[in-house]
Formats: sequence, C-alpha cells, structure tokens
Amino acid sequence: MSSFKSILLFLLGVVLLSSQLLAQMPAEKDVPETGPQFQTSPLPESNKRSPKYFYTYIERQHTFEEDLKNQAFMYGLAWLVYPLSQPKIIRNNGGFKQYKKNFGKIVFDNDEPFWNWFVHPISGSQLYLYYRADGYSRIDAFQMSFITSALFEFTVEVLTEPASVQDLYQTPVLGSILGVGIENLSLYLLNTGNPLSMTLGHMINPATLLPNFQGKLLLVPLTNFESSSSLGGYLSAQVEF
Amino acid sequence: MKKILSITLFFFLALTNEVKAFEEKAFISAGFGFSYASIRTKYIEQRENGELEDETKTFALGVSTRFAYRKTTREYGIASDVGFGRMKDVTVKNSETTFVQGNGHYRVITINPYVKQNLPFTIGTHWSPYFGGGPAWSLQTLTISELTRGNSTIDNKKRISFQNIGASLAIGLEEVLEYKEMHPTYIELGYSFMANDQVSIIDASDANEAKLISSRKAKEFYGSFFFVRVGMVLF
Repeated sequence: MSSFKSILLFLLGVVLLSSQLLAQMPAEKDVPETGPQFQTSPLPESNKRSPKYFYTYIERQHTFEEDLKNQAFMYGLAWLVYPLSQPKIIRNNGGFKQYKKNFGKIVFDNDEPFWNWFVHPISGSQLYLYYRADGYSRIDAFQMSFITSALFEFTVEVLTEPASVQDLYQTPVLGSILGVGIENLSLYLLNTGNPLSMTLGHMINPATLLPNFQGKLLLVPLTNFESSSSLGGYLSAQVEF
Repeated sequence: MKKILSITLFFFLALTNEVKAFEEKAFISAGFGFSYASIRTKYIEQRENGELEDETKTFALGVSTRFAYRKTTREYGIASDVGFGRMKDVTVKNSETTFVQGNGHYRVITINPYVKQNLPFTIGTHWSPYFGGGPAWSLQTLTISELTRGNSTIDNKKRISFQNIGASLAIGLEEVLEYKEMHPTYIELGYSFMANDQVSIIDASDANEAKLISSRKAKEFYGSFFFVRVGMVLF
C-alpha cells in the first residue's frame, strides 16, 4: 500500500513539475543572445546524403463525395480480405445463418490480448495511415478510421462473431495513437536517404507507396545565378503528381 | 467568521486566473491508468490468517485513453482503461457445489462514456479543476495460474471472465491551453461501482479462437474501483 502511495505521489509530482517547466520554458526566439551558448557540430553539407524526395504529410479539406469514395474503397477491401484471412473459422462457424444470428449484437469479446491489444491496433494504425496519406488531418483520419472500423465490426466481422465493444473502441483509438508513432518514425526513416532505412520506412507505413499519398515532394535546388555562395543552399519543394 | 471568509476569498481570487482553453474540437488523449479494486462476492472468499473473507483486493496498472469533444467548458467523450494485475487467494465458484481457489493474473478493460465539466476558475497559471462521470462497462478476466484448492478443471488455459455494469465519477485537474497541439496534460482521480452481469468460463488453449465453455447471468459479484488517470492530449 505504501508503494502504491509512493508511485501516485511520484507521478503527480512528475506531471505537475514537467508541465510547469514546459510552460515556463522560453520560446526559441526569446532565448537571450548573451550568456552560455551550447555549441553543436553539424555534419558538413557535403557529408550528408542528398535524398531525391522529401516525405511529409500535406493536409487538405475533403469533400463529402471523397469521404464516401474512401469509405467505399476500404469497405470493399474489408469484404475481400476478411473471408480470405479466416477461411477455417468461416467454413466451420461462419456463413449466412451465423451472420443473421450475430447481426445487430454487441458484446464484450473474450479474445486473447494478442488479438485485442496487438492485431486490432496494428490494423487500426494502417487504416489511420491510409487516410493520413490521402491528406486527412490526424483527427479526421481518426474519425474516418472509426467509421470504417465500425462498418467492418457491424457488417463484415459478424460473419464469424458479433460486434465487439473492445474492437469498436480499440481499433481506431489505439490504432490512431500507434499510427502517430509509426507516422513519425517512417518519416524519419524515409528522409534519411539511406536505402535500407527507406525500405523499412515504407514497410512500416506502406500507405506512403500508394498513388494517393500526397506528401512525396521532389526536391529541386534553386539559384538566381547571382550569388554563387548560395548555390546548393536553397532548396525548394514542389509536389510531384 | 467574516475574517475566515475574507481570507478564503482572498486565496480563491489569488488562485483564480482566467485562461481560455481550446474549444469546439475533437481530440484523443492517452496516458497511464492505475486502479485499486476491492471486489466482494457471495462466493469469492479469501483465506487470510485462517479467517474466511468475502473480499479480495487487487491493483492493476495499464493504459488509459479517451476520445472526446470539447464544447467550451464541457466535454463529452468515451474513456477506456486497460489494466493488468494479480489476484491472490481468489476463490471462484466453478459450479453449484465446487470451488476453485488459487492465485492468478488479472486483466480488466473498462469503457466509460462521460460528460465532464470544468469549474469556472483555474488554479495557478493554467490548472483547471473539473468533475465528471457517466455509465461504465467492464470486463475482468482472471487466469488462475496456481491452483491451491478445488478440482483441476480450471487450469491456466482457462479464463474466468466477469462482465460488469456500473457508473463512475471523477474529479481532476487539467491544463487549460489555447491549442490542443500544445498537448495539455491532466490528472484524474475517480471511483467506479461495478455490479456483475455475467460470468463466463473460456477455453483459451487455442490462441486463435477463444471457446466459451459456460456462461450464466450472475448478480453475486460487485466491486469498488478507485482509479488514477494521468495523461495528455495527443492530437
């Protein structure tokens, strides 16, 4: 019991202190020029790889029609992939009778943690990354994932089992949280210019390979040919369609 | 009396600071959750110092997430906690006549739709107190790993799950920041009361497909849960 209290007090202290410290931290522009300065030693430009593309996420507004098209595409994909991924269970326990029995029901499932806390969040993260690749903001990508996941739970997965409370919540929520982590890691890997890192970046975030990914920018060096010292120092980005 | 009121008012005003939080935005937050459960049943007993008890206590640690929409000072959302812990000397009625006693692992998932209201002042520069609550559903799953009494039909491949329904209340402190991208943090203390709705025994020997061995409606089980949630707005 005493250790329980100690942990609570420690965490309370950490949260209060860290948020206070972060709130009081001056913005970069407010740092005084006098006083001790930290020196960094960046690599000379010539020692860095020069990637051809720069990967990022470009957000845009979507029309209702675009939302519907995206939902329809993912829903169709779910009908294609789910029966193929569960042939044994569908053959033994699935079918139209089971569909009719499960349709409209919502239960707490008793699946193993491997499914609920690993497989579902992973699939949710890829759903989130698909929508992010198409230019949805983080919260919009989450909301689109939520709809896709709910449609899947209520109308596709009922082939084998009733819709589950855990899956309805955890697939989009844990999936989006995991998706943010994957998004940041994959951008870091993709922007290194290293072929191995880039392959890994695409592997953990395959949506960056899709034609609708809007954040792949072609880097074009620009110069005005007047000040030779700036040659190679200016980079501009242009979207490659 | 007037003096006390004046001093209280002075401190209240000194602590009060009007800071506007982000409004009319949906967001996701995540953090850690800790829960301390005191579970009482008519048929779970605990042997301690040779005395029979009808209560078992457990402590679970896990992840807490929420998806919410903040209107102005009011927030509507769904919170969920996933926790893992251990239960000691828990006794479960296996059938009408047999009991199983042992030590086991415990995991819990809670889904809690809620409404939250911020109080109209802040403490310090930007900490806003709030209160909230709503209905709650939970699924507690117990795996008896060390059987100390009873028949061996319950082994570590079997899961005993308790589906509960109840309500929860919480009070907390959160940062009021103008943009959610500034990742406001929060700390929350709460209490849930849960009553059992259904008890099931699951065969989990096949990891791909959990098989339901038996399930029945049960009203013998109820528990009090105290929880702490610490987290921040992610996006």
